[in-house]
Amino acid sequence: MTGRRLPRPRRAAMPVAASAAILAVWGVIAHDSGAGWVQAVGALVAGALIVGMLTPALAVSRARCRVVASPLDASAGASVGIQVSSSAPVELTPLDPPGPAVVTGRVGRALLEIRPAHRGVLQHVTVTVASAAPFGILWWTRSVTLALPRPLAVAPRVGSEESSSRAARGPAEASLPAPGRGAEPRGVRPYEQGDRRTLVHWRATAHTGSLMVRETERPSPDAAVVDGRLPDDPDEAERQAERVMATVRALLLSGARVELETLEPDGEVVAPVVSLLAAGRRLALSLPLATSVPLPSSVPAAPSSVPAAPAGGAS
Amino acid sequence: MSPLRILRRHGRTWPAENSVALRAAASGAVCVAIAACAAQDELPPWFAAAAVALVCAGSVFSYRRRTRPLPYLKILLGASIFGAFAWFFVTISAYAASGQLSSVEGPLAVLFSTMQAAHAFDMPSRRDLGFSLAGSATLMALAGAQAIDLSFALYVVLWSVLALAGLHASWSSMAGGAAPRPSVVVASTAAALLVAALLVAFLPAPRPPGVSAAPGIGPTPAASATGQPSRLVPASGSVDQLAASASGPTGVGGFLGFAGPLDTALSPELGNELVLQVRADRPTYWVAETFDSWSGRSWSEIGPPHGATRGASDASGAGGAAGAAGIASRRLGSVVLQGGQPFIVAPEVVSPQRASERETPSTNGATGATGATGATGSTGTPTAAATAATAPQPDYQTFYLAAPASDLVLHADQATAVWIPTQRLYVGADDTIRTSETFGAGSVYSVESTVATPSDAELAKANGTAGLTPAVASQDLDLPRPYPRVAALAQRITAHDTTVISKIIALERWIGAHTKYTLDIPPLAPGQDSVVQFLFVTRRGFCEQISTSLAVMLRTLGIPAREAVGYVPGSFDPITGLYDEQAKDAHAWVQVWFPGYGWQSFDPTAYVPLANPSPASTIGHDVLAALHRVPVAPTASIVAVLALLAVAFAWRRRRPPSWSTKVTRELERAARRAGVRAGPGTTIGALAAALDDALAHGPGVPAPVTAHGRTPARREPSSSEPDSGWPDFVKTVGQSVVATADDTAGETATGKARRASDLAAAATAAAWGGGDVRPGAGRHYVQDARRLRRAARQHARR
Repeated sequence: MTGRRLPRPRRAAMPVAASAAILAVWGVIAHDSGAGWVQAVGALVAGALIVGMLTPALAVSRARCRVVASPLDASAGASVGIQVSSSAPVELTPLDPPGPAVVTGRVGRALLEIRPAHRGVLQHVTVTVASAAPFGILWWTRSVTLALPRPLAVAPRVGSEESSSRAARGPAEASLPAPGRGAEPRGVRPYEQGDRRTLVHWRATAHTGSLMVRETERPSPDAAVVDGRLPDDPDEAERQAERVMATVRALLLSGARVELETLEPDGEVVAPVVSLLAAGRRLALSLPLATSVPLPSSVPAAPSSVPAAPAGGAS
Repeated sequence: MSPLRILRRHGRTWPAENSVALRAAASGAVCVAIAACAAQDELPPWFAAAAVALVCAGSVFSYRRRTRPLPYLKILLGASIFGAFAWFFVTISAYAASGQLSSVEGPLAVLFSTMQAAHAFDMPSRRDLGFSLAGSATLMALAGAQAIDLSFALYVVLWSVLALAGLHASWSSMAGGAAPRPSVVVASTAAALLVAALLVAFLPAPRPPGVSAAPGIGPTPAASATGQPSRLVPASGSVDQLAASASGPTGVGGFLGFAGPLDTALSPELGNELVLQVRADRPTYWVAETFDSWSGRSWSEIGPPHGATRGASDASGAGGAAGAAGIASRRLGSVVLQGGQPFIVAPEVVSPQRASERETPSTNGATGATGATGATGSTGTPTAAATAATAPQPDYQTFYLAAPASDLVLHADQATAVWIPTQRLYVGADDTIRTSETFGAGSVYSVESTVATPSDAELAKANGTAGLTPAVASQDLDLPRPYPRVAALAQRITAHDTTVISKIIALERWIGAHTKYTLDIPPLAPGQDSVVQFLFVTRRGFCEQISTSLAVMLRTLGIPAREAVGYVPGSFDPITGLYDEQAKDAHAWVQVWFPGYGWQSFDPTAYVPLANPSPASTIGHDVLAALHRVPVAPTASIVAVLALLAVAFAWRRRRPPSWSTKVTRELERAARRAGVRAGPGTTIGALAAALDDALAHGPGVPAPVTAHGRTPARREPSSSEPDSGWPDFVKTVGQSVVATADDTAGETATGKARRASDLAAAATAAAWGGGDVRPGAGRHYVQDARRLRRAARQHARR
């Protein structure tokens, strides 16, 4: 657990004001009545209130939290769970990336859900540790930064398919394959004997008055190179990465071989990607054009080789 | 946030609380608080029993319906609470109309108990249970307001335990059901008690103002909590010291009792039994009776016997019984007061001399208890001598009798008003106040008195008998026979003193220097004078001989003096706010007349040292006196807290269990969680195997078992990652193995630790699923643990 900060009470106004009011009224009653037992019981109440309002700070300070397990991959905007343990029962609320609060409970462990907003490589998560021990009167919180046991590669979101073609270039750019079983739509043509019924294009048929079918073509056996180099502006880079993901997904779905070109700490890398997961990792590591940040060595590298393209692919 | 949003936020449905412990603790705290109110007579027993039953039933009901609240239940409960409020206001209005508004604790207790009983049926959430806990504190405060003895501590302890348990359970529920660690419970409880003890011990505790047992009386702003009492101790003595040493260095009073004449020839035998408790503005001597007539052996009151006075009052009572409160009889120096609440006993009302001189008969109801009657004696007249600084101040006392007592009404200095549940009150010529009946245990009455505290310089200007009528002055100067030796001694001692106060001081110092205090006095032969025997023969005695000697010497000097008996302030109980008066706190002292200031008290016994004190007895007395000054409850609380801390510290520093025990415990705990039952003959290996099978099909995998029961079967620990997956105790095993069996020279600490971890991993793997050591069935698993240790050692040697 790193990045320790001083504990702070959470929503303290109401408990403190109520406690002060109770003790003030109690003190007045004790003073006016002069009854020692009222003073004694009031002192007990005051003792419990004071301890209950101050000791959570100690509990929060003493609580030791660490991430015991975390996945390798995540996607921006999607929840991912990391296993967190604590030395005492506390409430953990992820701040960066954000997520819902969880309580470690009797086992001292909890599955912390985080939802990264952007792509990148997460080495730490910032959480709020809260405790009201031992009486549950007032919550104290403290922000701590927990180191992940291994970096978490956050892939960008998968963008819409409308923008996917803009990121691709090369042979596949001019002849995108038809959907379904490795083919992409190319256009419509009149029906010929032997065409499958599923290829009938009803809208064109209605428009022309004769039976029309979709014309498809097989993907090219050459690899489609997707430009994954990102601009400097973070927002634009994020959107660009999303488009790249959409393109890669579309290409992979069509059965094409995909090569992704990214700018990584070691320089420009053009390497094939065999899955959306691998593309996400590459894009998580991808740097803006004007940035050079050393990459953690323990991040798994993208696969350097890909399986062979499906047989019978289009050129 | 707008008020509407605040209302909506607080009025929303809170999640149901599933913690039975929290519910039981909260309900228990409420029940204890209701029982405490019943014990203080604030609730009728049947009502308290019904309330407790309703709270218990309501708690069970609300627990069962916590997720399915009845829609009409809140309406019913609200109506019942509204009815309780209506009843409360009607009752309070009736009290106000009858002038008894001060006694609202009972209706308040009924109201709060009703609210708690109703609320118990609708407390599904944690927040509702918190309200119950807070409400129980309010009920405890109500009960504590009426508690006057330490038996209330039982309720406080019970309630504290339940309340703290409820708070712990509340946090446990917030934390997902995590049971609080014993160390945390002990430490937090000790901290709360310590803070409470510190608050009680060191905060300026609100001293109890005089609280009346009857309505219509209360403390006035002029009342001082630290007013110096009459001239009873050396000027250097503080108020606290006064409370402990008012009866002198001996710490023993020695008065024989309040019955008839005061015979100074008898030795007292007074015990430690509690006779009464006093709630007062300040510690002072509480006068029961004064004596004017000295016979040479005993003191007695001036005037006719008490029975004659009472007979006169009874004879006149028929006329007074018509309903007019006031002076019904004034015969033979005694005044009989009837009917008034309060009874006004101020001198200008009851003094027959003063009344006859001024010819202004007054009534109780007309005079009122203003306390501005001046520092006059019963037979004196107020003068303008008292300055603003020494002006008499009203002082309120409430007496709670713990044992049957005579008909004497105790009071401080000059009583001005008495609140007492009786029909008649008799005020003697010497200010002695009696009732028409004797007191039983549990009787309570309140007195308003005036206390004057003039300085020595002021008293030095007050000499003579001005303010006393000749008849009264002659009574307080009268001696049964001439005391030539006593007179010569007194004149010799006061030869260089010109004022009354200086003569008194000189005589007190002489008595303190030449006499000794002892309760073991020789018998007084017939015809002997106890004063002569004390001053010229034995020079040993107790408060009666000492004070009588001073009174007689003053009378030989022409200074009006009389004997007073009563109680010195006993030990002050900071919890109850009362002075506890034991039988041995009864005392005798001297009152001297000062014109303009009235009767002033002097205690010569305070100057007299113990007879033949041994060093041990002196030290013992000092220690006991010091202990008596220590507040019992806060000190006991601090000691208890320290003891708890010591226990907690010892618990933390206890010898750690052996590694084999730890292994066995962890395995058994994991087996319990997984639902695997281990018989008495189950070996650790068999248990581990059964647990492994159970966990292979169960959803939850406890951490220790994952580390030890399953992982070793699939993965051999290697030296490259010695610590991964193994808990601390395994490392401890390895370290012990290295320390005992594998202490190879030249190996670095890091190497040892790594090797230790490897050894421990191997040993644990062997015990929990590995194949190296598999104990035979039917052997106790502790033996297996020993085998495991041996195996680990052998492994280490290899």
